[in-house]
Amino acid sequence: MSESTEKKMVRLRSSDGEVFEVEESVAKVAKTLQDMLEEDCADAVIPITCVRAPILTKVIDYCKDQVMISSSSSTTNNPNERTEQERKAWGQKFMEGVDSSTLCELLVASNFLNIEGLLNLGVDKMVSMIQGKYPQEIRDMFNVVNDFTPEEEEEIRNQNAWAFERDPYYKKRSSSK
Amino acid sequence: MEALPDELLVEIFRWLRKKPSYRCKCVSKRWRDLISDIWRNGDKFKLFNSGCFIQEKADIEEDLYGDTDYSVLFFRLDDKGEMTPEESLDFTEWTHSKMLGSCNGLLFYCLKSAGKMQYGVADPVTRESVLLPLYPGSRLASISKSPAALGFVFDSETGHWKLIAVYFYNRRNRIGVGVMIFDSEAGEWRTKAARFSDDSAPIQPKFVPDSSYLEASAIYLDGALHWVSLEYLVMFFLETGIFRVIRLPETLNYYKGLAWESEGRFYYCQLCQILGLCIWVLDADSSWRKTFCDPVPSFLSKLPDWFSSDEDDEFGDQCGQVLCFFEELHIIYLFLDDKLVCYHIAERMITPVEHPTSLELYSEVSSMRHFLTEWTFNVSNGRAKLPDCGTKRRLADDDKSGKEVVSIEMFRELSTQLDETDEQISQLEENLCQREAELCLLEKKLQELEESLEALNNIRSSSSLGFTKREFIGETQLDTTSDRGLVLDKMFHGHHGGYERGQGSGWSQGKCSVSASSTEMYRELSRREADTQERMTRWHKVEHKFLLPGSMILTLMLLRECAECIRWMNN
Repeated sequence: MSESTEKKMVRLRSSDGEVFEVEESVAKVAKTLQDMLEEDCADAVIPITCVRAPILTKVIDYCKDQVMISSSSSTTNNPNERTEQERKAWGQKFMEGVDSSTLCELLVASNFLNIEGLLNLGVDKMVSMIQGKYPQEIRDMFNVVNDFTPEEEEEIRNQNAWAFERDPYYKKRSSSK
Repeated sequence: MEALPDELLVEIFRWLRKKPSYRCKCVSKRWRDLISDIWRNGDKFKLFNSGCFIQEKADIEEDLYGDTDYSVLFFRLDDKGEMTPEESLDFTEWTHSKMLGSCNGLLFYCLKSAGKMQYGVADPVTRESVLLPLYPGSRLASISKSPAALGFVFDSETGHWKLIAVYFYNRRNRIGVGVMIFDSEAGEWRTKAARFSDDSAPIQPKFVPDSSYLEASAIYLDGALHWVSLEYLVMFFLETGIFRVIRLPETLNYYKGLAWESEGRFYYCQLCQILGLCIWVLDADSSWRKTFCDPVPSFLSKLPDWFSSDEDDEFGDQCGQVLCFFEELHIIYLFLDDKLVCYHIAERMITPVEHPTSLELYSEVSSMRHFLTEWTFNVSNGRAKLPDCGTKRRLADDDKSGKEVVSIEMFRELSTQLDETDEQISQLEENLCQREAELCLLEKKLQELEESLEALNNIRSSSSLGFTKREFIGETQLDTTSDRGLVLDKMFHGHHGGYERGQGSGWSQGKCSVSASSTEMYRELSRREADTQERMTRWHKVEHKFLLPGSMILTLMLLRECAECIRWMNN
């Protein structure tokens, strides 16, 4: 009980200088931060150099949720425990409305902070965004520069012409929903 | 996206299916190189690396040639061992084919038509298939329609593979053997001289190859193909062409066990009524060593509630087939009491498998359970290529699901149409009923009116008695009906006076009697008149509501005329 009353706080600074104060347990969801905290450099503000404030907010949201689940899962029959389905639904909701550039930043952040769950969510989202799209659509979506010459691109296309045909499976799926 | 480090991009690409990843290869040079690297390193495509297919005889009835249609269901196994239908592998080609097995990403099937058998190889990823040439006038092919055993051997260095078909036949009370090998490099069939090894001689006379067992996939290990057949393990050494038969570990049931290769060793697993679930490993000296055993009581205690067994310490008659081993997760799929369950080897735990919808077939085909054959396929050791023989054909999408969607849509449309039509019909029927009732009423009224007309005529003809009647009414009845009596009287006077006069004497004789009856008649007529009036007003309302058919309109017109007449009489 005494532990919970004086929760240890950790301060994180985003790349654009905003400082976030979070509970230690929340910060520890990120393996990278956990390692740092265990090496005892908790007093100072931890700079998270590659993550901007809006992204860090999202990351902290995720971590808070994880703490909420894990802290209550030790007791039996707790209402916060999620079934596989609920977990999936939550993940989907969490990633809902995240655009491609935010998603990229989230991926970088979760990779840097080493948050596996968030990374998986991001990868899943990314895969679902790529699936069923043509190269140009993918380039547009993620701002990737096409550095192929038209001949080179044509060649690759011809090698695997089947992959560029209409995708009945995908279409079927998307239309049925 | 450009900001993402390679490792993250790789992580994303690894999860892509083949088709999207081919498309991604086209996005930029960096993407192309990363994806090529993943493929070169033989990294698994996570979503596609493990799956299984379950084949059932579609029909118990065999055709003229002893062939049946098979239905095949593909499933993807995810990292929790759950099965989900893999629809991307549903091609029309499977409709009349029997799935034989898989070898590093290729699917082998057998096209049976009119008693002829032709093998086909399909690459579901590139969606191409090749039919292998028929045996070159093989004597063996005439001996047995289908080979007793099949096996695939894949050379990960060259990407080539061999399909080995083994025929057993009776030769002077001994089992003879013939082997045909298709080499994907040469693109043709070759016969291979084969014989039984000396040490399998004692077993050989007893050995009865059972094709329903042998046709299942062979395990290729240390240069030899391994098949499990009833109580025996059959090994075929590819180099020497020698067959060796050894006994399987001693068990007391004949349910199909399952063999697999793991880390270079041969494993055999069986659910036995005495020993429970056991796994043996084949040692170098051809002896079996039990590496795992979950004894019967402990095994039974884990069974879910639905498991029905007559006696608590024994398995029922119809249970205990080992279907599939999923190496990555160390789980075994068991077919128990018509249900698919998952056995976790490390935890010694049984979990029911969520039945994909199409698997509900199971309960209906329980008697055909032993026809179920099952293989896992994976592409972990490099992908096999299609041979350069014959023409490559495109695999056609099985439009079944598409058709279903269409038919369901059509069905829905039709059924809504039907519903609407039904509604319309019931409305029409209701209308018809009402109109029939109306017609009835009208007819009745018509009859009444006719009757009253007749009565009127009667009265008219007996109007010579008018004064008597009038007196009578005037004396005795001064109620509402008397008015009408007067009206009628007046009418008769005005119109028919001459007639009355002419007839007067004749009628006067029956004065008293007629007078009484006419009074009655007057009363009745007056009552009817009132009735008709009332009905007529009702009918005017009804008329506004419904469009009446011709005959009714006529009746109505008639009625209206009558009403006019009556109204006129009233005035």
